[in-house]
Amino acid sequence: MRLLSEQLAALRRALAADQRVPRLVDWATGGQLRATALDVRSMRDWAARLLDDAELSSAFESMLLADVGAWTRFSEKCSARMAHHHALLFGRLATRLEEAHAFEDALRLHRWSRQAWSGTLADPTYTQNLLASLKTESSYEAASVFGGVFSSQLTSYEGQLKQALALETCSSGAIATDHATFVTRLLDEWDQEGFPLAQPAENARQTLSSVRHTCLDVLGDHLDALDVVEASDEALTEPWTWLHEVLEIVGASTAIAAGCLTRVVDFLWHLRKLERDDASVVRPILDATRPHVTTLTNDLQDDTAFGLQGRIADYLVFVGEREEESRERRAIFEHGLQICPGHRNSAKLLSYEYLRDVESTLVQLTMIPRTATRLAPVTSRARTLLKKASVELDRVEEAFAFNEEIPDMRATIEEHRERLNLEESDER
Amino acid sequence: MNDNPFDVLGLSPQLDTRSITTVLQRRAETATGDEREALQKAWRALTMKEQERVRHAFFAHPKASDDDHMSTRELRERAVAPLVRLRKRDLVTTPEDHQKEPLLRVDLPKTSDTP
Repeated sequence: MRLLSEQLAALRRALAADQRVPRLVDWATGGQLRATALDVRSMRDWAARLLDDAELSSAFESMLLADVGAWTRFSEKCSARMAHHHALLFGRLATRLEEAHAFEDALRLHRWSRQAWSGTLADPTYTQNLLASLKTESSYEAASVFGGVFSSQLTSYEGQLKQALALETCSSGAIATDHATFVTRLLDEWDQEGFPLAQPAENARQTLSSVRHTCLDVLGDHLDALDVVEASDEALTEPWTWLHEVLEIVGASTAIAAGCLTRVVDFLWHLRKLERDDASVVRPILDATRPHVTTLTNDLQDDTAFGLQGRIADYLVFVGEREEESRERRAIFEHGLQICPGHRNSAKLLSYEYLRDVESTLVQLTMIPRTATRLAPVTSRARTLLKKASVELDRVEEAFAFNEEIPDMRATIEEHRERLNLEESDER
Repeated sequence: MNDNPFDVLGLSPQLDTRSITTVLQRRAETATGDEREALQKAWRALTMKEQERVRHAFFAHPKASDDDHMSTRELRERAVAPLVRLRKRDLVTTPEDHQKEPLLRVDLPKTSDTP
C-alpha cells in the first residue's frame, strides 16, 4: 500500500504541474510563450509545494488574475526552494524571449530570475544543504559554483553585443539597436542591482568595458583606413557619427570619453593640416563628439578625470571657431582657458575676440570731429572712449601678449588722442 | 542555453556518478536508438568531470521524487494499473477465494440460529 500511495503522490504532483505551470508561463510571458513538456515536468516539485500550502496556492491563483506587477508580492512568500525553481524557469523563458526579440519582456524575466537567485542564495542553509547533498569528492563553495556559471553566461553576451553593434564585422551603419540596447541594459542591471555574489557584477562591468574599448579600436581601424585627402566629406564624418550612435547605446565611461577626445583632436588637426577642415566636415564631427567631451569636462570638474585639460581646450578651439556669434566664441575660449589656464590657442583666439571691442570703440572715436572737442560733453565722451579703448587693449594684451595687432592698436589710440588734443592724464 | 541533463532525464541532482551510471544503464536497456544516444550524451556530460556534475546539479530543478522522467500518462498508468488488476482479479469473489482467505469476513447466520 505504501508503494501505491507513493505512485499516487507522484501522479498528483504531475497533474498539479500540468495544471499550473502552463498558466504560470502564459501569465509571466504575456501569452508569448507556451510551457514545454520539460518546463512542466521539471516543475513538479514546485507544484507539490503549492499543493501542500493552501495559502501559497491561493496567492498564486490571485497573482494569475493580476498583472505582472503582482510577481514581487508572490515571490516574497516563497521559500528558497521555490525561488530556485523560479530562477531556473524564468531564466529559460527569458532566453526564449530574447530569441523571439521580445527584449523588454526578456529583460523583465531576467530580472525576476536574478531576484529569485538572490532569494535562493539568501538562505545559506538551503545552499549548504544542497551542496552537502551532492556527494562530491572535492569541496565546493556555493558562491564560486554559482558565480562561475553566471559569469560565463554573461561573457557570452559580449559576443552578442559586439555583433549587434557591428563590431565583429567592423562595418559601421548596421547596428541592431534593440538587441544591443537589451544586452547593455541586462549587463548594467547585473552591475547595478546588488546581486549577493560580487563576481557576476564584476564580470558584467568588464564585459561592457571591453565592448566600449572595442568601439574605440574599431573607430581607429576606420580612421586608419581613410585617405583623408581623397575621401568624401561623408566618408570623413561617418566613423564619428557611427561612434556616437554606438556610445549612445553602450554608454561612455570616462576612459572612453578620454579616448574619443584624444582621437578626435588628433583627427581635427590632421584635417587642418591637409586643408580638409571645411565646416561641412568639422561640424558633424564636433556634433557627434561633443556630448562625450562635455561629460569628460564635467568629470574633470568633479576631479574624477585629470590630465586632459589641454586636449579639451584644443577641442574647444575647434568648437569656438565654428560659432558665428562673437559672444558664443568668447564664452567657449574663456571656458577653454578656465579648464586649461595658459592654453595658447584659446588665449590667442580670445585676444582677437577682445580686439573686436577695441576696434568698435575706435570706430566711435573716429566719428568725433576734432573741432567738436571744444564742446565739453564731446570732450568728456572722447575721453571716456579713449579710456575704454586703452582698457580693452590692456585686456587683449593680458589675454595674449603676443597678439600682433596690439602695437598698431596702441598707435591708433595715440593718434586719436593727439588728433583730439587730449592728454593721457585727462582720461583719469 | 542547453537544457540541464538532470532535468532532461528527470534525475535527482543528488545522485553521485556511480548511481547516475546505474540508473542510465537500466534505462538504456529499454531505450530506442535515439534515446540511447541521448542517454550516452547526458551520461558523458554528468560523469566525465565532477565539477561539471556539481555545476549541473546546482542548476537543476529540485526533485520531489525519482519519477520525474516519467510523463503524466506513464505515471497514471502505473498508479492505476494495480487498482485495475485488483478489481479484476481480487474483487470478484468465488467460493475458492473464501476457502483460501476471504476478503470480507461476514458471519453468515447459521441454520440452527434461524427461527
